[in-house]
Order: sequence, then C-alpha cells, then structure tokens
Amino acid sequence: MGHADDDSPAPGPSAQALAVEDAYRDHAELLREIAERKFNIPPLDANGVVNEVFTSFMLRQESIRNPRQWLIGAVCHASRAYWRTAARTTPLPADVGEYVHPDSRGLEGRIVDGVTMAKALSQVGPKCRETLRMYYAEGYSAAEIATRLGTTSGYVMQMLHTCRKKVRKAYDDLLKDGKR
Amino acid sequence: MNGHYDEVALQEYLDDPEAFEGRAELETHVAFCRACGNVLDELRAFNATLASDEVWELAAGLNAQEPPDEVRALAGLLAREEREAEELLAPFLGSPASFRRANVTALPRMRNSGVVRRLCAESRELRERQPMHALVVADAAIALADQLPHDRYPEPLLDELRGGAWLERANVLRYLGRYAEALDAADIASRAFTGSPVAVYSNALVDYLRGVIYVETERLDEALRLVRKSARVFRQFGEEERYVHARIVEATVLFDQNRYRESRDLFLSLVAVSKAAGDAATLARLYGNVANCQLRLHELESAEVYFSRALSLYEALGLETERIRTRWSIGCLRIASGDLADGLLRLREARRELDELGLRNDAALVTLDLAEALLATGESHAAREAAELCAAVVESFAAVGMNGHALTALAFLREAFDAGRATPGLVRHVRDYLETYPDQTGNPYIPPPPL
Repeated sequence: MGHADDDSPAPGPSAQALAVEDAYRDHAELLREIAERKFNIPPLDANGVVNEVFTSFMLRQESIRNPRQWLIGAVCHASRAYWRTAARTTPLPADVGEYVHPDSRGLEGRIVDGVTMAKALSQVGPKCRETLRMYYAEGYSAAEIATRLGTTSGYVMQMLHTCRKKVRKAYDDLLKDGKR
Repeated sequence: MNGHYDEVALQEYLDDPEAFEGRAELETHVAFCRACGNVLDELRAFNATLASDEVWELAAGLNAQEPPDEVRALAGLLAREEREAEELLAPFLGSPASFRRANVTALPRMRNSGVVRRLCAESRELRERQPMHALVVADAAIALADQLPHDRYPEPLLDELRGGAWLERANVLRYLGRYAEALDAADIASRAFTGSPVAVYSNALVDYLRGVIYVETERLDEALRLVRKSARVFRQFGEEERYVHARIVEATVLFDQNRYRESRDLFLSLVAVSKAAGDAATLARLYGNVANCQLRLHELESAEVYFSRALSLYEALGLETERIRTRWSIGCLRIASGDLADGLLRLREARRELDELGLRNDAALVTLDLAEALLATGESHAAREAAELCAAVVESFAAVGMNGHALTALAFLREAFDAGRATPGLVRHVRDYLETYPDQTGNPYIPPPPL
C-alpha cells in the first residue's frame, strides 16, 4: 500500500498532480481574465469559477488533447453557469444584459491573444522587452529610441527585428504548448 | 517584382511606409497576391496586439498564478487515491469470479475516488471483450460513487464521479444491445452531471452516446439532433477527435436516410481534420465511408480510389477485420462496374476470411452479396450455387444455436430458393434486413409483398 508511516518523509507530489499544477500556472491567469472581462464576474468569484473548472479538469486531464482550448471552453460555460446560479439566489442587477460582453466571441479571441502576447513578452530578455515597449507602447521612433539608448537607428531597427522574432516564437510556442 | 516579398520587407514597410523604397510596387503586388496579403495581415494583427496598452499592463503585472492550496491538495489527493486504487484492486481485477468474490462495494477502504475511476476505466477496457463482466464492474463503480464521503471531496467532483459511473454503465448496456436500459442509465448520468461546472461538456458525452443508440434503433431524426449538438460542444472544447466521431455518426445517419450526397460531403469535410490530428484509423474509416456513398451515387471510379486508400491504411495499421471488409466492398464495386469474375473472386475470398475470424453475421452478408450476384447472371448453374450458399448460411446459423429473427429471414429465403422463387431483389431484401442486426434490435422480419 502507498500509505507513508507517520514519521517517514511525505512522498512528493505525483507526476499527475504536478501536471495539474503546471496547467494551473500556464492557464489560470487567462481563464480568470475571460471570467472577469468577458463575463463580468467579480474578481474573487472569478477565482472560484477558475478553481472549479480545474476540479473538473483533474478528473479528465488524461483524455484531454488540447488542455488550453478545453479550459477556455470550460471557463466560458462555468461563467454562464455562475450567472444562472446567481439569478436563482439573488435578484440580478438591472444591467445584467450587458454582463456578457456583446462582442463576446471576438472579445474572447482578443483576451486569449492579449494574455498570450503578455506571456510571450515576459519570456524575452528585459532589453528586448524595453525596446519593444518604447516602440509599440510609447510610440517612439527608431531614431528616438537610438538617442535614448545611445546607439544608431540602424541598430535599433535590427534589434526590433530580432526581438519581434523572439516574441513571435514565444507566442507560437505558447499556443502550441496549450495543445500538449 | 517577381516572386513574393519576405516577412522582413513587409515588416519594414509596416514600420515606415513613407520611407519604404518601392512602396507603390509593393502595394500593387499585395493587392493582387493573396500569399503576401495574408502575411501582411498577420503582421498587422501581430503589431496591433503588441501596440495594445492592455498587453503591456498585463505583461507588467504578469506572474504565473500559483495554484491555491485547495487545488493543490485536491490534485494530490486524487493522484494518490488513483495510485492506491491500482494496488487495492489488482488482486481482484484478473477474473470475473475473483471480482465477484471480493465484493468490493462492501469494503470501506474502496470508498474513494481512485477506486471509482479505476473501475470505470476497467469497465471501458472490458466492454468489447467481456461486456457482462464490464457491467458488473461499472455497477460496482456506481455503488461506490454513491458511498463516497461528502466531506472529503467538493460536491461538483462527486457529481462528476457519479455521472461518469452511470455513463459507463450506459455504454456497456449499449454494447450489450440493451438499449432501453442504456438510455435510462444515460438519463441518470445526465442528471448527476447537472451539478458540474462543465455540465455542458459532460452532457455532450451523454448526448453522443444517446445519438449512437438512436442510430442503432433507427430513431434517426433524434440521433441527428443529438450528435450535431454534441459535435458543437466538442469543438468548443477543442476535442477534435470526439468532434470528428460525432460528425461521422451524423454522416452515417444521413447515409441511412439515403442522403448520400450530403453524407459524402460531410465525410469528405472531416478528412482534413483527421489528417491534421494524425488519426490514421479514423482517416481510413472516412475514406471507406466516402467510397460507400460514392458507390450508392454510382460514382464508381472515385469509389474505387477511396476504397483503395482505405485498404492501404487498414493494411498499414494491421486492422484485419476492416481490411477484409474493405476488400469485400471492392468486390461489390467490381460487380457493380460489370467485372463479375473479379468481383465474385473477391467476395469468395472475403467470405472465407470472415468465416475464419468467426464473424458470422458479416460472413452471412457477404454470402448474400455473392448469391445476389450469381442469381443476377440468370444462369442455372449460378442459381444452384446461390441456393447452396444460402442453405449453408442457414445451417451455420442454426449450428451455433441462433434461432432469432435473422434465422427466420434466412429460412424464408432458403424456402424461396427451394421453390424456385428466389430473385436478386429478394436476396437484397433479406440482406438489408440482416444488416440491421435484427437479433439485437428485436425487429421481426417482414417478407416483401408478392409481385
């Protein structure tokens, strides 16, 4: 039997339990974003919805081919169920019709893209991230960035090219990993 | 400009169109070149996402969310119980007798999620080989799921385990042809799943099974509605394999409704999905089904191409029964194309191989295909052979104690041969009836009205 004696060291978590934890780290943030932004679920409750989805995921993880897509589908349905249950226990707010975003299909895609891109950015080096941030988020030109970094605009253009490639690869890998 | 622009050039253009040398030429090119236009659109979308404030806000605050203690603890508990269940059940799962003797449902140490899940998995494996034993195992899973301590597991998880066990029972009953009981078990599974946060997904599994049962009991319109519904859900959850299977059932219903063109198109639309998933067995089945539709549509040349593709895959996969069935179909195709000698040769070969594998019903069906083709020649020696073949099928069914509706139909045909009333149409009538597995569905044989 697998029971450990009281004074023996507790066995480490199994591969199966670790896989659930990894999936949580990889996808929980995205699921919470969808629950909060697409379905307007309050942040604390959104965490509860995400955790419930992971409970169902645990029972099925071995047969699920595309965990990311399965979890996204699951959180959408669990979020709808959340509002159905809320409707049974408390009166719904007057503007509940607006709680599920009217452009929900497009919004879901944008949330997935946004979170994946943010994760991809967190996987490239700080220099790359900063150069891309200045160019895309702050709107500096290559020449302005060159002045700030004390280099040439040609070098900045080259950096932008390299950094975009790295982010693109990280982004594609994240999408691929979701299908493991 | 010859050829296409590369990504670097297109990105340079997006970075600063004014400064891009050859701007007009590029813009003219992408207006007409779909490949470059698509790359440019992708780059634009990628740049737009990178330029979004939200993305940078998210990136700034992004920390991998650690699983909370309750998720970690539950994942650990389930994994541990599953490991322990392997050891707990190992002595009893070897044989039906030892499993019954062990009376696992009365043992308190068996009342945990791991044992319920292990029993469901065991039943799933046994369904085809030992369906009666599988039913006993599934029922043990149900009994134990009902006894699980409510303070150890969250309520939705208990609902999932109960629903899963009832769904397993429903599946086994379907294998046993006990359709009414299977549908009852599916209803209970569906009610249990109501408490799950992914009830929609779990119920899609139930609907898929109901759909399959309705196909087998010829409630085709209901089957169509249910499998379409479940396919939609499977797609939303990214379960491509389940999606393809649900749509295959849908196409099968269309075939059974004689809507061959729609059926063929649906089967064909699934080819790319199966190829992308690398699912060779499903791909082979799709090719075979496309060919069967084409056969009914008299698109004989294309049918031969698709049967050949299916045959190559079945041979490569070592799926013996399907290989023989496909060769049998090619035999029918050759006869339909007018190549009687080759067709008969292939049917005889298939009949012998099916007999060797003990697939009695299939062997009977191919025999009737042979008899129909022989009768259609109008030659007396061929008619004699057809009569002998038919008599042999009746005897082989009787020899193994089969005395249901199938035997009644075959005996009717034999009498028709004896009385010189047998026609290719009558043989086809009996053959189509046997194909509905009447001894499982309980449909009695009704002879065709006399001409």
